[in-house]
Formats: sequence, C-alpha cells, structure tokens
Amino acid sequence: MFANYILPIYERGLDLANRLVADLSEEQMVAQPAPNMNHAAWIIGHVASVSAIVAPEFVLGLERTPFPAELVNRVNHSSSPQPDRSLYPSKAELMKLLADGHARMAQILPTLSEAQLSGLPSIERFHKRFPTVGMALTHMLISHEEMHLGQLSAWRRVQGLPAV
Amino acid sequence: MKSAILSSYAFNLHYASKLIEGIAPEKACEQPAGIPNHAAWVIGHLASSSGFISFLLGKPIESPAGWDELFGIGSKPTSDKSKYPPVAELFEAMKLGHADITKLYAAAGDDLLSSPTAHEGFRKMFPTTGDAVGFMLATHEPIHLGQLSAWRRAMGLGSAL
Repeated sequence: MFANYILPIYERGLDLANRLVADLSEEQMVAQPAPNMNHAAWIIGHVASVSAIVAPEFVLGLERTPFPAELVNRVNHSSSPQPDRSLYPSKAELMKLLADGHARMAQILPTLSEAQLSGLPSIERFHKRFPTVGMALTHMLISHEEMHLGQLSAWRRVQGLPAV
Repeated sequence: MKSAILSSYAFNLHYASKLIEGIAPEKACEQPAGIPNHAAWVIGHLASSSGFISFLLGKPIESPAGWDELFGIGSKPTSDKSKYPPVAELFEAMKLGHADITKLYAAAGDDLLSSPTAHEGFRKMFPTTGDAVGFMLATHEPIHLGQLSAWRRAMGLGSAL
C-alpha cells in the first residue's frame, strides 16, 4: 500500500527533475541570478543525496547508495550553493546520482513491512520531527524533493527559461 | 499511509508560515527577476486549492467569491496589489482549509480513496481519489512552496528555515 502510493509520485519527481535541467548548459547549472539562490547543481546534488544517503542510511539504517564523498558536504542541508562550477559534478553525473538513488529506493520501498514503516527512523535526531519511518520517507522522498524542484522551477523563470 | 501524508501536509503549513515571515505587505505582489508566482498568489492558490481537494473528497467547500479567477488553475499572477487580499488574510484561509481537509482526509474510508477520481482531467494522471488527494497534499503544495522559497531569495529575503 505504502509503496503503491509513494512510487508513482516519486517517479514523477525524477521525471520533473530531468525536464527541469534538460535544456541547461553546464555553466547555467551554477547560475545565481539573485544572491543566495539555490542553483541547479546544488539542488540536484542535494535531492540526490537525500535518496542516496538520508533515506536508506539515516531513516532505514541501510547502507547508503554510492555517492561521491567530496560532494556530501557541498550539498548537505547546512551547505550553501557556490558559484564555482568545478565544485560540482557534470549535469549528467548529477542526474545519474539522482537516478541511482531513486532506483535503489524504488527497490527498497516495496520490501518494507508495516512494522518497519511504523517504527522509528534509524537516527535519533529525526525522532521528534518524524515519529515513524513512513512519515520520514514521505517527507524526504516526496515533499522535500518536490519543494526543491519548485525552487528550481522558479530559478528557471528568473533566467528567462520557459516553464516546464 | 494517511498519517504519513498528513504529517507532510502539516509540515507544509508550518513551512508556509515561515516563508511569509518578513514579507512587507506592499511587496507581496512583486515579481522580481521574472518570477511570476508571487507570495500573494502562491498562498492564495494553496488556500483556494482546499476547495478542489474537498471536491475530490466529496464534500465541496466553497472558496470566497472571485478567488477561482484570482488563484485557480490557469490564473495568471499580476503585480497589481490592489487585486489581492493581504497575505496574512490569505494565510488564515490556508490554515482554515488545512484544518477542514485534514478532518475530511482522516475520515475518508478505503471505499472513497479507492474510488475513481471525481475530476475527469485529473483522473487521467491520478486514477483514484487517494492518488489525487495524496498528490495535492504531499506534492502540489511543496512545489509551490519551493517557488515561494526562491521568490524570497530573489526578493533579498533570507532563508525561511
């Protein structure tokens, strides 16, 4: 039931992400048309890290999906986007990290039992905000990702790019 | 499942309350750097979407007169602030809508949630009421709140969280 609901929406998120960056050049990926705006490289890296690290490891206590170690601190929740293009992988590499994280979670989600979904997230600091694994996964994989894709949508408009 | 969706839905309201902090009333309809969806439109759109969600759940709640034209699907935000209620008023409507929808969704049984989506256009993307309402609560709101987050940055306002 949980996977039946969450997977189609999660897949839509990946599709939307692909469409939002499809026409961007490598240099555009780090454009900051207004100070402190989250740019595409940071947003894609950030949501990729949630599917690759936060959901499997911090929520479920599983191994993380392979993710470049040097990128983790550049895209985590306490990082801020930098204009230096060399700090981020190429657009294709970023999108592969996102796709790989999605693919792994798409395999894991159908295997989760009701008991697992109603249990506590693996790391303690999530417990107050997310009393259950199901709540944490719904927020992290759906709402959180869509919120950042909404930022990306507005970021496109600032640069005169069309709506997707 | 419903509790997970309602948890995200509740967070959306909290996040919206943070996103509108510090917005001067006279700035709420500005469209900086080409961002069309300004704060008044986003909050009004999310407030008025409660009408659509309640329709999907079989208990339609009417939006205030004129809000469909201002905030409904296909509406185009303008920078004419005389057309929009204050953001604080729009957020109060969003809060009331959240309270209504939370009750309706929590009470919705499997029969209703597995029934065909009441809106024909929506049904093509979301076959069941549960799919459609889940999308509206957990996906539609965050996308627009993300737009509002980017609008804040373009307006020179700080991060909301």
